[in-house]
Amino acid sequence: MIYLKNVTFQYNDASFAAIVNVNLNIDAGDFVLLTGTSGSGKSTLCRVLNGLVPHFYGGSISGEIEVSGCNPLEVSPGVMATKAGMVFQDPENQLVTSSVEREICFGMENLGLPRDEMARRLEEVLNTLSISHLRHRSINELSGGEKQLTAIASVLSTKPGVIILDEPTSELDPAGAKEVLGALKHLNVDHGLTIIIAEHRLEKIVPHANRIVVMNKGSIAIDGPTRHVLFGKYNELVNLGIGPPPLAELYKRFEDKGFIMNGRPLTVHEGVKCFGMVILKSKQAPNTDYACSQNSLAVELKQVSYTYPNGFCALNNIDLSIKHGEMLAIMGKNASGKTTLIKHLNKLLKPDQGDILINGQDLSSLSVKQVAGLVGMVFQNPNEHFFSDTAEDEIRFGLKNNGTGRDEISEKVDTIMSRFQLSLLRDKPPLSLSGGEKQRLALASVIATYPDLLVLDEPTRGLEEQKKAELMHLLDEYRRTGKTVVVVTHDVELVARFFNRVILMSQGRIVTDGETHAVLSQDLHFSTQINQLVQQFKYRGVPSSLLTANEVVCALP
Amino acid sequence: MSYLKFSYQDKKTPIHKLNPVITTVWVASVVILALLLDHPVFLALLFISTIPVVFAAKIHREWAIFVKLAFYLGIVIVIINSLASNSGSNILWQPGIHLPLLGEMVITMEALFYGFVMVIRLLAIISAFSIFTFTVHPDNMLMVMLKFKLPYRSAMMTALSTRFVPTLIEDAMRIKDAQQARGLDFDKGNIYERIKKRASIFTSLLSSSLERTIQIAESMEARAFGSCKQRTYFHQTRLDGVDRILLISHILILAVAIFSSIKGFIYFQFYPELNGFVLPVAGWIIIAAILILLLSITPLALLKKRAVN
Repeated sequence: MIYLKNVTFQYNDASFAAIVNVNLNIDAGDFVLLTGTSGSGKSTLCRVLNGLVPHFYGGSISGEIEVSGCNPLEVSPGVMATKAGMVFQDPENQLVTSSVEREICFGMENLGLPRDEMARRLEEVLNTLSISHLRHRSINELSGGEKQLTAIASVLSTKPGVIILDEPTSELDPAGAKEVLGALKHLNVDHGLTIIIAEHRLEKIVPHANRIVVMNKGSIAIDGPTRHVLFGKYNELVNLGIGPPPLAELYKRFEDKGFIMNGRPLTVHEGVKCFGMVILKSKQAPNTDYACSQNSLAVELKQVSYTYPNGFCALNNIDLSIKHGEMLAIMGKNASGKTTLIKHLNKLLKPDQGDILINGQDLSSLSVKQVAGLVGMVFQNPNEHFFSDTAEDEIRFGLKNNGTGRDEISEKVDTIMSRFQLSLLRDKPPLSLSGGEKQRLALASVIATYPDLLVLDEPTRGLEEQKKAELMHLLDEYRRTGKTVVVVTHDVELVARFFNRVILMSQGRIVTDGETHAVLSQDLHFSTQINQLVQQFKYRGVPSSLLTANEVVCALP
Repeated sequence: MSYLKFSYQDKKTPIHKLNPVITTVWVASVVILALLLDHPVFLALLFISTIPVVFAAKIHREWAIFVKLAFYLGIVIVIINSLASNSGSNILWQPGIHLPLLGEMVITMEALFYGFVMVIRLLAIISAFSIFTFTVHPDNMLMVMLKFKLPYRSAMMTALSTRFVPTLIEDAMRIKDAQQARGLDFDKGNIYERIKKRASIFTSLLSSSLERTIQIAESMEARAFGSCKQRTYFHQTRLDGVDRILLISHILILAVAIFSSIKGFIYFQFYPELNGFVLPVAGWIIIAAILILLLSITPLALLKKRAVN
């Protein structure tokens, strides 16, 4: 199906090759998970397979390539569209018409297919992906998952033998990601389509993939069947900066302790069979008593309600108090009110009813400037934060706004810049920095004024394991200075590892509020893989509040 | 969200269901007539004749906002025209002030009246355009452009830009929120400072839009955009009997209008004196005929219930 021999490619303006000497053979019907940290070359490799590299991007390429019997270097992108379909990361930026039906027809129209053939394929694709109900919907009304399904449908209509997806779920919430992966699995299992998916989060995809290819610095570092790579090459995987799935981590931890298991699980279902004998020995409940060292309240919401001008009631009688020194996670499905809630914490939205107190001060009496001094907010896309000409000015702005003295500002800017490893980038325009640098600068510019409350919206979305841990470490350090940190997230594994208090929201209300173990172990939807596994042994005396591999291992005698 | 109502919404009215080619031709006729003829009574009637369509399409709320904006712009036009033009003969006010560039300030009745007529013309055009914007699906606009043999690539680019308007507005709102959260107070400071603060939203928006553009282009290329000389279209518009009648009648309207403008049946003079309120009988008959034809679109639309393909 796909054959690559000694392929090397370099972008025109780059000083080193993006992919180096890649050799790869993929059989028809394979479901391949292509992984690696950012900058490892996985996106470039995806684009080599369907000719976007070098046809669209330019650059110099060498080596032999064959995809579905064609050489992408020799045929036009039009021909490649019928051989290797490509789905991109951001659902927003790959749909070009305004309704689902037209979007699906877009590729077929470009190929000049006759109308009756288009009509036939349209039905076929809508039925295959079970999205007939979306047919006449406008693109702007779709959820992220539905948009990605539409993108897949559009690609599918040109009948490619292989579909290549570049991080198709990283912009989606868990429900949307599940929809998309379900559809891919169906295409692979029931229709024999070859699927190649680039992704750095493994746990959701490994159950479907029969092969994993790991890239590092432009080369293929590990390549093999899924179980062989996850369990046999576990240490190499971790060393390459890839976060292993929780089940593989648990397997490894058990193995290190000398236990023998019944197999190597990819799903919770398999985990129950493989780990049963070992997990039954876990008797020690995790440490769930959590007391905050301080008693003063940082945030207090009293019966806050908010309805958007279009009549959508986003917050319904919310009561919430958060103490100084607490780190709190807010979880909930889309449109449950999470974002609306945090926008109230810094007066971006004003409640229809109720009061909001920050440090005992009523928000409604404070100016935009004063609020910014009390509450720092980091949004998901760092680009949106910046308005200054240089990175240094970006940090300086908050301090100046705060009324900090001139000498003190320079001193603080230096400290913050070196703390966030930005010292070398002081004079660069913020928008010219790399993704990771922008993220650090956005956080640094907010933390510089030392706000009492720090709020982050989905800070780890699309972030790889190591960067996630670094960020959480920074936040925890900040919390320890007596400040309050509130994080909105979909990432259950992250919450289980780093937070001690969680609130779950649904339909504008807080449904659960409490200690992480208590909350996550009682919710089927917002629960970790390991906890789902442990729950199956609850009746045999295994504590049901275990959330992570580490806790399970610590619970062993 | 609230801004969405400023783009196309399928309200499922007979006007929305009209063949987009017909709506486009109708709107174009109104615009051409408004530009072609000067007669104040005719222009006023032209504006009024767009109103039944607005109500039949249930877009009066959105329309009212457009018309209100046009009205404010109109006030500016009247003021500037009265100040800039001193060709009229009936002087209303001559305070003896010397204006830079414009010479001595003279306000004449003719210039004032001309300004008002311009405003009515503007209202008729804006009203017609708002009907086009709110009742023709952006993708159908693309189809109409193709029907009129405009090159596909340019038509596609135009349709693309309408598709991304809501996305851009959403982006701008998020950027504003993020910057305000950092303490940038958009409502504080003098005008220069305020403009500078708002400009930072655009810088940010521009850089994200550039990134977006590359990704969109890539996704189009990956789906064979421009690879085939004979591109086909899944959705096609076919004109049925009623559509043909409407189409022919609009061509007729325009021909008659051009003819009567040349022949002087409908003529109006602004300078140096207002002249032409009294038209020959033929002029009034032609005006009535044009308006009846234009107004007929609503009942005809109600008569036929048919969606595009």
